[in-house]
Amino acid sequence: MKYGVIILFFSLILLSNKCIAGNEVVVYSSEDKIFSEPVLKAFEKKTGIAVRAIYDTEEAKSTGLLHRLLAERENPQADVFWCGDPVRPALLETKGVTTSYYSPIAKEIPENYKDEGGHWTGFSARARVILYNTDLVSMDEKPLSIFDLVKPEWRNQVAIANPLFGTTALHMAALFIVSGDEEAKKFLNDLKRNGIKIVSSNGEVKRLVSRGEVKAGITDTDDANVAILDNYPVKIVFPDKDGIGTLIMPNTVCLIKNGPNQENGKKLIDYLLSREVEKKLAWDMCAQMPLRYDVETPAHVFSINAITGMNVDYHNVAKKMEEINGFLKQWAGF
Amino acid sequence: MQKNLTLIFFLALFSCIAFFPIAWMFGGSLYEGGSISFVYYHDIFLTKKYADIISRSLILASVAAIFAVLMGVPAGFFLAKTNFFLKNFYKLCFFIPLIIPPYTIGIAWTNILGKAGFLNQFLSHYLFLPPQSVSAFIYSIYGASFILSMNLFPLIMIMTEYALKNVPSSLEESGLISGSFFQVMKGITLPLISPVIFSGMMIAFVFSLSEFGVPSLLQLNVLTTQIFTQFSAFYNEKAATALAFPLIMITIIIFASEQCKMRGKSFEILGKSGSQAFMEYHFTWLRVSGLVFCTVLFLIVIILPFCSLLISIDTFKVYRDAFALAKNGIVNSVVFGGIGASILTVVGFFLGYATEKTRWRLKEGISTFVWIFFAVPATVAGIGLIKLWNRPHGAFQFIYGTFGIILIGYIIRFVPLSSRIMANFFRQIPQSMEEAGAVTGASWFRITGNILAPLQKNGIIATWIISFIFCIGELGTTLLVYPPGHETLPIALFTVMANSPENIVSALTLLLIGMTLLPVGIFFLISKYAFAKKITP
Repeated sequence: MKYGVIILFFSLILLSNKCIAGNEVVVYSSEDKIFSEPVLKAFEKKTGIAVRAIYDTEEAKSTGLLHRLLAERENPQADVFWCGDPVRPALLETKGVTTSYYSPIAKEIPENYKDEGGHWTGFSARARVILYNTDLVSMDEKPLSIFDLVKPEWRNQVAIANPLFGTTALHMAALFIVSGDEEAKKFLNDLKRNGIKIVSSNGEVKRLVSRGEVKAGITDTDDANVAILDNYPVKIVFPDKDGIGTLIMPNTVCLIKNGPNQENGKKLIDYLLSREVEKKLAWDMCAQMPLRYDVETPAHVFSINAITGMNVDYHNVAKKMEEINGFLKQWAGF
Repeated sequence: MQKNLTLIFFLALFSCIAFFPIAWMFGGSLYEGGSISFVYYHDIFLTKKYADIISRSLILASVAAIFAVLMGVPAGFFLAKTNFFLKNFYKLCFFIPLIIPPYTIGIAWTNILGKAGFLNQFLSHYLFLPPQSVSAFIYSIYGASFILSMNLFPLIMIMTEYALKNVPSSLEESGLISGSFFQVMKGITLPLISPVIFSGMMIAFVFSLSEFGVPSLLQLNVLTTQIFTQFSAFYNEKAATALAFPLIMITIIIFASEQCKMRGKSFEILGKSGSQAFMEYHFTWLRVSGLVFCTVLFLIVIILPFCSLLISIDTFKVYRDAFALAKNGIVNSVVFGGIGASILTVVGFFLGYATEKTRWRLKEGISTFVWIFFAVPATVAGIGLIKLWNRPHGAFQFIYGTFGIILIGYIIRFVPLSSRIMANFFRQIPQSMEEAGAVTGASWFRITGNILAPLQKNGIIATWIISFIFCIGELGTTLLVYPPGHETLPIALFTVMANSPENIVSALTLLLIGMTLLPVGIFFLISKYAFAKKITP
């Protein structure tokens, strides 16, 4: 009997090992599963290539997969990394995790959303916006700039995610680049003096604004749009139209060096960079903005040229993030 | 010989599985710039900043453990020793907080007690508490302790309940002849179950100490959030691993204190399965107290938080959508959780025996060695596993590419727990029972099968249930190592949590509860039947 159990156990292991071989591609996705899974399923249906995906979680601030990719560097398990921002691929590039691939499909994508060395390519973008509660803030009172949030009327009424992580970290680094270090530090210190609430994630910012715990918060367009679709009394402001502009953050996709299915990985990258996927993500709940100017979008999704974007280079943002991490850690009370 | 070989086999198995990945990580944190370096440990022990962080972690864990005992011990007592209306219903419901990830319970309570929360508004309206102060409480270290205690009290409740069931009626009946109910409780029952209560409190303490989700949600500066910051903001796994060192030291100190407290005392009792049944009290006042206590607890730990989560589910379609998102995770969770809990119970049984019933000179050292893995943060364990098992040319792909790696993660994280629970139940079994078997010439396997296992019945059931619940809820390590297609339900829940509509997240939470309670219920029935057959003379 006990030998039977042992044999069964090892058979199961071998069986599950067997199941992983075949015409497939392994993708690690830090884009929210709810948005990325339908896209990957569509690719599977279109090409017949089985997609084996692993997604990240909000609790791990989408860094779980990054650690995994770094730890698996010697024996990569993934072929493609679909990232929600352009900065983490830059880090992976420096650590030798990614390899160069220039997708022919990406020709129509503006150059500033692509890595010169071909280690990552951008597509559908999110933006950093101010989300405000319309029950607590009238149209006339709404903040038009993130710098408005240091005014006394916003005391204890603004939330932001921990700036050490995720897109908030990017936003802060971009702010330091466009405003200069001294000005950016002064702004953040003023925000702190004005009682800004530092919370765990952009999703938490959305929750607090939606429930009226605070009047406004700085978050991403996809979080904000989900709150709107959930019928919460909230609206979005793309801040600093007449000033430093709004930070735009494209999704990025990269090919993993020595991944087990390189050719299928390239096919998946081509698909993700296609017009079809940009359209899909624009019409989905995440309301992402296509980087191509001529992709049809719903009325509430702005095209990328309708927004005044912050003038930053994402490689510089990645470098700046490392530089200012110590300051941000202190600022956030960690 | 048979006994020693078996125990050494299980000890070696656990050591190989758990020790190497963790040693790899800690070894790495001591190696910088080509030589041995304590650079990452220097600040931890020599700066006031880290002293404050460690103090905050200790406050968080202590308060959570005390709250959990205050809720869990009376609940376990009433469920084991009295019989009141809806007892079984409450018993099943009280498992729920243990199943739900603490992060989700945290969100529910910040909804309720946040400035716009209904309980906050109620308290400010009727008790004139300023809304800001109620909100400040839930975002404080004490708020986090409160949330964690609600998550962990079922653990103490289960352990107390089964320990009380081990106390034979003859002891309490004898006490009642000459003393009151309270004297019996104080003089007989509570001292006999005190090792289990201490053990439960210790487990709750260490869990709270190493919990990341709630402190992260409430943005508390404690050890686990510091570790996470090093991992995820600075990508410095060496510094992060070094920060786990205080967690391990505290855990060893707590464990050593427990050992000192228990040393030289005997808690051996002849269990129900050895002779007679455990005793139930039928005092009306006790039954009413049980009903009132459990109802109030039910309102606080189940109704309040879960109403806030589940109120958003308005149509059946939501369940269908949630099921479609999670069906793969449901099957995987139940299969991996079931296999994992069974392995943990078997390994825990033998390690618990080795650390409690043998006369080995090193048994206390072994006990401490096993226990320290309990404090290792999930992320450290996960990355250690990747580094050890993901070898070039796929040498260990049959482990790393399959659910075997998930089971190994469960073993590292939860064998300390299962062996501790088993050890405490073993404390209640008299040595003489085993010796009686040996005198008749029975082999040790036979003694184990026919004497130890039936006497340890309650320990086995409690261990399996607790292990199953923890395996099903494991996220930190599984997230880092699960192969594609092997996602579990908490992973499904957390990967869709960020931007899914609230009703989908709520429906997934309900599915997680259902998928955990169902196998636990089935296990209850099977174990009742299996053990009932086993102990029939």
